[in-house]
Amino acid sequence: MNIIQKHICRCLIQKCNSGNVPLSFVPARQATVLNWLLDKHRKSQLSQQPEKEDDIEQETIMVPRDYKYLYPEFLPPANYRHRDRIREKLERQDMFCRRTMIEVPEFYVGSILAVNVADTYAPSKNTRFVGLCISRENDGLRTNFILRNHIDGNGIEIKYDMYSPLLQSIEVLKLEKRLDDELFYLRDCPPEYSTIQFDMEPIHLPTGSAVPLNTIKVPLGPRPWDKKWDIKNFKGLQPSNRVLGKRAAIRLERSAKPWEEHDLMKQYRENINDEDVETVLKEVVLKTKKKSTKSQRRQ
Amino acid sequence: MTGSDHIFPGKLIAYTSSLDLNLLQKTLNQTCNHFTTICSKRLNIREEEQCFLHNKLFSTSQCLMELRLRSRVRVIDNSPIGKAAATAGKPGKIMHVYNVAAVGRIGDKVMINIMGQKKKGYIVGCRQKQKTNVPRFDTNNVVLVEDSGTPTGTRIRHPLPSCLRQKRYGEKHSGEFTKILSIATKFV
Amino acid sequence: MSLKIPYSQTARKLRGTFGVGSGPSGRIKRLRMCVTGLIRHERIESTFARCDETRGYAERLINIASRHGDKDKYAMEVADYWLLEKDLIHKLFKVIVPRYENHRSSYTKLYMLPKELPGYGKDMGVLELKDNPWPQVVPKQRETKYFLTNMLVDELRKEHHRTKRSPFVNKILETSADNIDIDSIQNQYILDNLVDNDEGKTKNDQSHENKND
Repeated sequence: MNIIQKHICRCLIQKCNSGNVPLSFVPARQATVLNWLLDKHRKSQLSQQPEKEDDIEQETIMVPRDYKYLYPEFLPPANYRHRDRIREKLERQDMFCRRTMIEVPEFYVGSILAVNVADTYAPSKNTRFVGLCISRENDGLRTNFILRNHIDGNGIEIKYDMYSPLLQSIEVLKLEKRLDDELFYLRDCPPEYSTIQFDMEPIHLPTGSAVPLNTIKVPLGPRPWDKKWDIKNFKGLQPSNRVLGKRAAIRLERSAKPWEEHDLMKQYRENINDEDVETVLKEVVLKTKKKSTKSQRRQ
Repeated sequence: MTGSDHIFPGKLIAYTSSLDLNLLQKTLNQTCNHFTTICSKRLNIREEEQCFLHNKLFSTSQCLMELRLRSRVRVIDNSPIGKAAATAGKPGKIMHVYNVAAVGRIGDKVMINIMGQKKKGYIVGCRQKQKTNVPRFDTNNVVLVEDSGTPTGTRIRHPLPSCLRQKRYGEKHSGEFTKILSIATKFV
Repeated sequence: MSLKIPYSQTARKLRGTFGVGSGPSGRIKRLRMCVTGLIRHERIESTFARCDETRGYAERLINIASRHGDKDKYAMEVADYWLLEKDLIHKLFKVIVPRYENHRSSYTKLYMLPKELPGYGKDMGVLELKDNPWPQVVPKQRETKYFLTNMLVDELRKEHHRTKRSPFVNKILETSADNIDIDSIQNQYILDNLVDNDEGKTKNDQSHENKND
């Protein structure tokens, strides 16, 4: 480092200590381009298309507490190796754009959805599928969910990309949560627990109410199963009747993982920094307030 | 070492002297230990996931549920042979997949051994993980077809994937698919 | 609230201890004992790996306690879980949290102890809470920078370099932290260091050469 660089660094450190520049911890293996430096250059007068952000508006925005659960796909991935702020910003732009075309409702694993997909092979150019949401992966533009239904003696699962332009509409027929985050065990349960009528009427909840939690405990069907569901810690499953061997019993005990309940560092590593979450959700609040979208529950 | 009892059955002892046996035992144990340590380090397998077979290790892939030779299939048309197979509890087994890779996917033609007969059929539903917008079925469904190309049954009461209505399936199998689609009742 | 300490993305497994256990459950038990010890004694000496692991948990515990306060159910649950001696819960909320109210950096400090010869033993470390009542681990050395002879020599050296340096560099070094503007400096630096002529020399090099002549 030459003498000028050293001087600049010293000045910057002074600035940091005096509180003018925010402290941010940069992990050792991050990309060499510093995000705050890049942002600064983008905003400078020398750049060709300077970004103008309403800084004043940003500061006065209050993010509602449940926005973290309403818009989970906007949140960045927890692993810092998979983070790229520029890519995330561009993706969020595209997601807001798509949300102006289609209403993406609030739903959780366990809710019943009806989805209309553009299909060139169908005579009406549209196919409608109704199903129970058994999984939901939040990953920006690649957010997808799987709907499951039992039709004419066949258990059918279809995966949908939430931000795909092929999706014409997503309708929540029944909004509710389940005890588990993933309901793949329904594959080995009796079919009546996955059957949803195609002509089901949507169930409206009173405004401002909490999301109902369905505490149903589903029994497992006869073996063979896809996976050893009874050994894993699923709260939405009834305990099975099979006699567990020595190893299976140990696995069942360990699957509950009671030591992870208060594992503070594990929680910290797996969750995104609160400051990052705040900045992202503030953007969401701004962009979603500009156009008035009707949610099924709110308004 | 309990392993040694498996490796040295009674017959061997008659032909080898005790010295030779000890040497054999030692070298085998050494190689087994060496192999296990290499495997556990390189493959990063946790002890619970290691598959043991006479002190040796082998790794297993995920269960892919591919349709290959001797895979059992469910016939979903109303052909008498399909119904007989279902009632008898003897599902059809794939004998040949008309595919470069011997893995059958939705829309592939297969040769099935069902009730002692050889029958051709088309896969119309897979248990394998599918792409987005393509349905994944809980059973591997198949529609039987004669050598001439006409379907064996007259009606398919079960849902078929909508992607089968694509042109490429029709073009590939010279119009055989259109006959199947004509007897289908429901698409998903 | 972000952690103000360096932490790795993967947690150490930590070897098992006799009487405590091994595996993930044994590891957490061991760490609870370490955190309890740290809060009680405010300075613990242990293997470096263990100290490093407890550091994260201790920081997070103090973070949660200061953020939520002692009236919060979650904060109490966490404190109850991590502090095995229950009188320390009072100490955490009433002594430690107010101590670090205005702290912007980490609450703990981790030192590596020197390796004892012949060097077969584990790397040991000392983990302490900042502003503890004990004497410092690394005592404050006399600053040789402020000895008279050293100050005089430093000034002589600076004068020597000032005469040899270009006026552009001198100008930058004189600007204070408040007036510093990275963009303008960078642009000027780039312009000055542009390769101008066929010899492949920049403006600055040229000016230096002229001066030496």
